[in-house]
Amino acid sequence: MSTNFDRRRINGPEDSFSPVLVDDDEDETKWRPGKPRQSRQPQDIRPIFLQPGLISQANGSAYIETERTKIACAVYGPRQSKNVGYIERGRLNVQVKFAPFSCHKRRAPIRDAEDRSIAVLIHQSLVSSVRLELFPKSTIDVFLTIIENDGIDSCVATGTVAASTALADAGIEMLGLVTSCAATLMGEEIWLDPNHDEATAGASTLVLACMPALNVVTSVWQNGTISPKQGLECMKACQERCETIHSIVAQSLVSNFTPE
Amino acid sequence: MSATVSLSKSEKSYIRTALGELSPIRADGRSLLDYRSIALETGVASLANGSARVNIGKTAGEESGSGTEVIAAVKLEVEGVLEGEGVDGGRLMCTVSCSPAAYPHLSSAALDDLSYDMTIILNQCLSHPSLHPKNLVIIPKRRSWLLTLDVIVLSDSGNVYDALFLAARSALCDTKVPKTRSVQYQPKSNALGEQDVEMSAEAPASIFSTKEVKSTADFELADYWDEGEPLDINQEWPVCVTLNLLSAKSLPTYFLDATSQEEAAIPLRLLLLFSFSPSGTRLQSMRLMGDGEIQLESMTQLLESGENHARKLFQALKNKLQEEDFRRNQKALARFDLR
Amino acid sequence: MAATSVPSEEIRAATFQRLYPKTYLERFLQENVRPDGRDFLEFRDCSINVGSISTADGSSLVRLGDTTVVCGVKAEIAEPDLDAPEDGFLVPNLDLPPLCSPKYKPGPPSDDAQVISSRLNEALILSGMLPTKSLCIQPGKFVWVLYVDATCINYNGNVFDATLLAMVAALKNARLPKAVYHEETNHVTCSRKLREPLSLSGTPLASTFGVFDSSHLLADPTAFEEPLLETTVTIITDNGGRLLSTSQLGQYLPPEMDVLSECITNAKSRTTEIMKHILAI
Repeated sequence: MSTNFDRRRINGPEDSFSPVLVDDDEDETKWRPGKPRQSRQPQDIRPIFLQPGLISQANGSAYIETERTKIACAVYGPRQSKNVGYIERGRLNVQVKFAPFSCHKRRAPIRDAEDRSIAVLIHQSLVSSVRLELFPKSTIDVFLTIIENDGIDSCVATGTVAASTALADAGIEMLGLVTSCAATLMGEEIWLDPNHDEATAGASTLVLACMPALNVVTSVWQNGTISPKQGLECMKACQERCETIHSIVAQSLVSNFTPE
Repeated sequence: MSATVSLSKSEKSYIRTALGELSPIRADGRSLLDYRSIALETGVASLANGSARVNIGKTAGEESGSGTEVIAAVKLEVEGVLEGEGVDGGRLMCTVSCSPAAYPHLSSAALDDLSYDMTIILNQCLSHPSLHPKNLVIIPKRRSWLLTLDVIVLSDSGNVYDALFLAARSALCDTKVPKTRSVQYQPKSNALGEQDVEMSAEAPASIFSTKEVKSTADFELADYWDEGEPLDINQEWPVCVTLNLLSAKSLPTYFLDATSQEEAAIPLRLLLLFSFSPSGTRLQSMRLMGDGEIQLESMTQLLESGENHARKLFQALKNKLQEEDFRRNQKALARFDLR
Repeated sequence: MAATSVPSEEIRAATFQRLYPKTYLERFLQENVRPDGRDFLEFRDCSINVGSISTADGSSLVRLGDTTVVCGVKAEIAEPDLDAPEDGFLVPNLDLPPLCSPKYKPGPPSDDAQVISSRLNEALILSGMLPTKSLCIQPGKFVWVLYVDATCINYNGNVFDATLLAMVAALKNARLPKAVYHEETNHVTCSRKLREPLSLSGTPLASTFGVFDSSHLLADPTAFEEPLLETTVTIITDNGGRLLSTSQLGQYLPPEMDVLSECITNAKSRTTEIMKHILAI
């Protein structure tokens, strides 16, 4: 969009814009706000495909796909913290990157605020699960690449699940697996695991991350308008669903594990 | 964790133990649910459309530099919907910048990250469609206001998020949107081939107006004693209450308005943003921050007590804003009438 | 204590590989086999998957052994250059994020990414695969810009071959919305439903070989072999097996070996093999 000439890349023209699409005729099959949910019940989540250990160069990795949300995650470390003094506890470093083709509008390859806000939220979900006191002077790097984006809430929730799976795949000591689920308030109904269209149409969105094995919540993130009572109901619904996701993660880790 | 101070292990444990006692002790003698004194002033930036300055915890007799100090200011800019970046209905954009003086030990990269994080929290809450003021439209589908809310953190001695949202709410409540009138250009029909145009102004509420708004080409500022009318969702701008969690087991304990030292010792915080409109209490944003975890069962109680604290803060702020409004605007109006 | 001081065979092999990589590779080559069990001139298995990313106008996922590259084409509209009013733009870039290998750190594009991106650009231009004139919407006013962005997900060597293949596959998969130029308002609208493939001609395909110890020619080197090679040779041919370019990076080619002709012969048979995959998409 704006001029971001970078001599380290192959550059296109100075200015370009995404094509303006016009509707030839209304697509009746498309979901629109106000309609009931398509192809699943409000409390259903999208099918999860989770594959640990796909990135052979990393200490641990996971690839996750829930319909149109596709995220790859790699864990490197624990490795030596560079350029810092003595630290007693290890550092958990989470970085998120959108592939340029992951969104409807092309993302020029520059770091922006959205990358960081997702990284901060995933860090929040994970940080209390990792036993960082065992890794003085070290950093655990968690890198996520969003290959296809279908809503920020979905990216945060799915990214958290992928990252926790990758940490487990890397053999890093944790107190428990972290799973996460998003919800949106659609009228009076709570719809779990919303996609982008549903999340933007809803009055409020909430992402909850928890360690189902210990029955504790590690992160809550809510935006938009909701009554406190409905907020609590959303959190309960998410926590319940997190238990389902927990068994999916555990299953995928077990089936990927090959005894030495 | 804390952005301002780093404490030794024993200092942290000292603070934590004192707070966890049956009769908790805080270094400044407050009880767990006491706030420090809050000072608020609106209209601090004369060139802005609305502004406010908030200070939490300034000790009497001391000059500037003590307490958490935040300035917020609103500027309105005109945007074209068709040609510019504007969207129909107007936009709201928040930016927080942290003064290096507030965080002298942080590197510039770390300072940027901190400003980013605060910006995102403010922006995600305040520019959510559920809080969108309707009167940011100038001419439908053509021109609208871009409302930019800039907040500067001048010094941080703890509880910066409460201060940010207090200042933001005050500045937004203080904001006056200039009154505008649509203007239309029409070619003179009786003129012989003349290219010159006539300008006709049209008051938006005129019952004699038969012209369609669609044909409106531009607008002009109405001449009025005041700077304009307030944003139409004044009462709904939320207030923030930060609960610093001491223990989040089935009986949650927390304290309010942490100082920097306390923030460094107690890493887990729950940010709650409530708005109190006539239609009822709404939760506008909620966020858990820091290293730690809570049990879902305790959330019920935390939300309930958070709501109570927020309501008190909201009421106090409302009274103060009315007082400020009277001090500045009502008196001005009276003076205007005298002339 | 005694039990822990004798590591298992596997750990000993891994330690040896890390400490003496060159000797490790030499010992394998003496047995006429490579560490991953391949013959010297054998390429790794390759798979291509297209069109799975709905946000891109064309996309592909290529796996060459463990090396994985995702590529997406995003079409945007821009004004053409003044001296070339009918020419659109083709902008290929490769990103090597820190996710794909411990070699790469977060930040601006690494040297490797810069070098490979510019080689990819050359390969796509000199193959004439996509005539830029075919990207014209309205001469002098609007042309298409095709951003062909590839991201490496797993770096296990020979990323250039994999990325070129991914870009070619993504371009073949790409469908551009039908664009209409409105003269009165001077802007372009596109149809949401009508989409057309690109007019492509020719298919550039790369085959990379490395020379080890002036004596062994290794096809499709892995991330472990790459730093040990003295020189690498990349042969780019088109779908008919015609030679488009040869490039050599590194030291001189050993005079006692006829490296180039051997590379070209092998590249040609490799190309025929890969074309079967491409025609299948």
